[in-house]
Amino acid sequence: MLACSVFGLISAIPLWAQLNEGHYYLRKIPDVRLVLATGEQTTLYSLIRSHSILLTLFSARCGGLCSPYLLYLKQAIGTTPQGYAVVALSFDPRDRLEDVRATAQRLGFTDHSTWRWGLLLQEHVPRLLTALGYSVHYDSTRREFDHSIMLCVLDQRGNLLRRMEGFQDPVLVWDLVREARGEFVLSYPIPGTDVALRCFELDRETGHWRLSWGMALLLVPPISSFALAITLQLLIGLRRRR
Amino acid sequence: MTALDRLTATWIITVSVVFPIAILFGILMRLNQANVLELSSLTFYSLMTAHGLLMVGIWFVMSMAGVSYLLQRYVNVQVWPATVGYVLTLVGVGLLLAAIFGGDLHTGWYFLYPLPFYARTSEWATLVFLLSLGSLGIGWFIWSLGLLVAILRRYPLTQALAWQHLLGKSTPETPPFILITTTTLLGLIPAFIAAVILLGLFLIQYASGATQDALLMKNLTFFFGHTLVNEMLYFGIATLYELFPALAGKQPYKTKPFVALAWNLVLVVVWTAYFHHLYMDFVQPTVVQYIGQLASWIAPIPAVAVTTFSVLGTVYRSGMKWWLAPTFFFAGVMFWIIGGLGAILDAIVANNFVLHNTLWVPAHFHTYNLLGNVLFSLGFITWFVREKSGDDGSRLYRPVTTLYLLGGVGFVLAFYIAGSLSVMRRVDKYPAFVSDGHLWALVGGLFALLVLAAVVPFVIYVLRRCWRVVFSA
Amino acid sequence: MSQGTILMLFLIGAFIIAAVFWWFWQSSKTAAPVSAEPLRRWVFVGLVGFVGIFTALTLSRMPYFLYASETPARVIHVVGRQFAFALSERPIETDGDYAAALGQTLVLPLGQVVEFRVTSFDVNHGFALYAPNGRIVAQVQAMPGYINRLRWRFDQPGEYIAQCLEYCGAAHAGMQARFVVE
Repeated sequence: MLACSVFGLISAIPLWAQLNEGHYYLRKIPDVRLVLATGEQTTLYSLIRSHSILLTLFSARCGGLCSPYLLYLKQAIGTTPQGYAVVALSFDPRDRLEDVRATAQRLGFTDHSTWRWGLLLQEHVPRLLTALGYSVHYDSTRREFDHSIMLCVLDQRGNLLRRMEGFQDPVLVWDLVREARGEFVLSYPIPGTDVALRCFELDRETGHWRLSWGMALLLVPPISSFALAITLQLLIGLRRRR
Repeated sequence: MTALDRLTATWIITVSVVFPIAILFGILMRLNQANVLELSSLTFYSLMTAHGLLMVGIWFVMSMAGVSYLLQRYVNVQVWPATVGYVLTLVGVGLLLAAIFGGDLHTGWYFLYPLPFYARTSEWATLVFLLSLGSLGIGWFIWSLGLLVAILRRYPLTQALAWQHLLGKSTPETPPFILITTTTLLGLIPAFIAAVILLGLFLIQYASGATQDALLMKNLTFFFGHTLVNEMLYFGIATLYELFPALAGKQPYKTKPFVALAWNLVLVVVWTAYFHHLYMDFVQPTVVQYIGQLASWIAPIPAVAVTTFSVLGTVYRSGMKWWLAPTFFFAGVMFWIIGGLGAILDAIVANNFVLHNTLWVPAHFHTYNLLGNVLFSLGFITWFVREKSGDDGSRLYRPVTTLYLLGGVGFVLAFYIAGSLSVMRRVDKYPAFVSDGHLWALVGGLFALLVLAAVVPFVIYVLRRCWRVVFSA
Repeated sequence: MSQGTILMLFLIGAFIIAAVFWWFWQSSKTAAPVSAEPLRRWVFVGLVGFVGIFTALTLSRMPYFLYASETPARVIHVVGRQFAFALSERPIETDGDYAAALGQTLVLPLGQVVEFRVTSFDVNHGFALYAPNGRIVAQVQAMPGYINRLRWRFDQPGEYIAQCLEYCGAAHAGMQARFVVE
């Protein structure tokens, strides 16, 4: 059910917002301080020391897209990252560590060793948001933040490698995973360009390229050629027997 | 004269008339690039489109007409599928020329998606162009099917593919001609189906405006285009297998297990060779690029190996008489291999990185077309003319072969050299930073004039004799 | 392999092939009953060996992952559109960005890795980099709907030209952009 509603939300983020990634590409992200859900005080750079990371931000008390977005990420990339780490940080100054833990638990992350959940130190939040191009606006009537939903890839030197806004096809999320694993992603479709049939798609389960319906279309000609030959053969055989 | 004789002679006449005109288009292009002529961009690209489509078209139908004629030695060939093919070819070419010269169609033979939607072509011309491709495709499809049915009536499919020879048995015998024709027909039919799918997707966009995936469209385009041109060469080889041993005064070739293996391999691998057209599309997954390089090497090599071996073995100490037909076949095999060498060098991805879409590409495909496949067809034509008129064209032998081969070699060499100097293909005027382009265009154009000088008397010789075949009582 | 090496290899190969054919042609002037059958196996083994060695040598030299493990010093966004390339350090997202980028002449660093992110706003284009000596050093296709990443390190200073190498319409020949490496 939830999955359906998430895909229903796949939004048409305009083309420019996606190409916007280039504004931030290879920008150095500041080494902000944070507290992990385990209570450990640390910095962003110590999280990237062993692995590149996929970073997303949320607010625990967000009644909007935060929960569906985190769930969508969980479904797209799974709970046990290998060769990279997933870090989800709360930017909301009202959130406390218990709120972060509750969010993680609600989404089924009982074991803190899978994704890293944490709370940003309040005075460091603006620097990080600016560097990532993350827009936040407090709506006082709703008493909630209007904010971006976004996934970023940070390499081990603290450079921003990729950045993707909104709910996109999970196969595009896998592009970011591959980048976080240190693969050089040679080419990628521009999110938001809508075509009916593609030749290749990323398998959201495994992260490998697989043939898609477009390529299946390329298999039609050879198969129909053999089918045609065999059919003709059978027809000729039938006639001869008669 | 039988109906098939007349139809074959009609094909020869049609092809012979168009050939010098299409050569002339090519020469005009080269001279324009050399700054000797001053054509408008639109005229240049219209000529380029016409040159490519006409050359591929006439030599495809000629190779197929040759195979259709020789097939009657083994099976009962019906004339009507070939006649339908002829009529629809004429219709298709007529529509094509109307679109090109009446409607400024200038998208190149391969009309790479989405160029037709962005080119300065009249709207009707694009539609007429698609219709003309439809007409050619349907005509050739019916013709191919006719040939396939004729073969299957006599040889069951497994036997037509020589699988019994593959397993080491020597009976029942499948002649190499039947084996090669069958694998080529089975390889060719998918190209027509791919073209139909491609046209369908184009028409969907016309009707609804829905955009297609540019990568998928490019894959389909080259599946169709590469496969068609590749298979046309194999029809030429089939003709050679059938005629060459007799021309050398030797026994017909037999299908050895290795020959059977080579052609069965060709049948499957040929469909993946086209991937080399997309090497520089980094979006194509890299594993496909690896397959492309392997397939580009595997597809031609067995065929080249068995053919070369057979032909050289036939010629060795044969004491044979060299006249137009055997000379054309022999030279054709040599240049097929030389062109193949140029092609596989370009099919290495690391080389393609600096050669893709330079003149190296027309260099190698002209080598195995102008000096390869066309010669196989000319070999068939001269053999046919001698069969029907008894005249072997001995007066033409020295001037025609000398001019044609000398002109052809100089012409392609100018392409190779310019390609290695990074001169690009498909441009009407060379930008200042590739100034080498002008000189080599002039050299190429002049050598091409020699080819034309050889072709014109040859065509007159052929036309006169084929005319008599068509209108004999 | 450089273009010159490829040409030399080709000419040597073509010469050998022509010489073999010439020799057989000459041999045909005398008649003697011979069989070449025993040779067949050796020709086959030789060809398989040749193909195997060449494949092994060349498959590892794919241009797709050039400098993949390095962090590029600069990222250049490239958009092809009939009939000019726009190159910019800022992303080119709109018609306005494209128009603004057209006038610029970028200066790129010598000896450092530069990444080009190449796409097209209309048809397929070819993005080929011509060095000051007039030779292609690298290329990639610009395909609508996709971003292709080409990484290259320029080792020769001077003016480079990005030339369209995929036929894209009547003014294709003049489709280019310039930049300087120093």
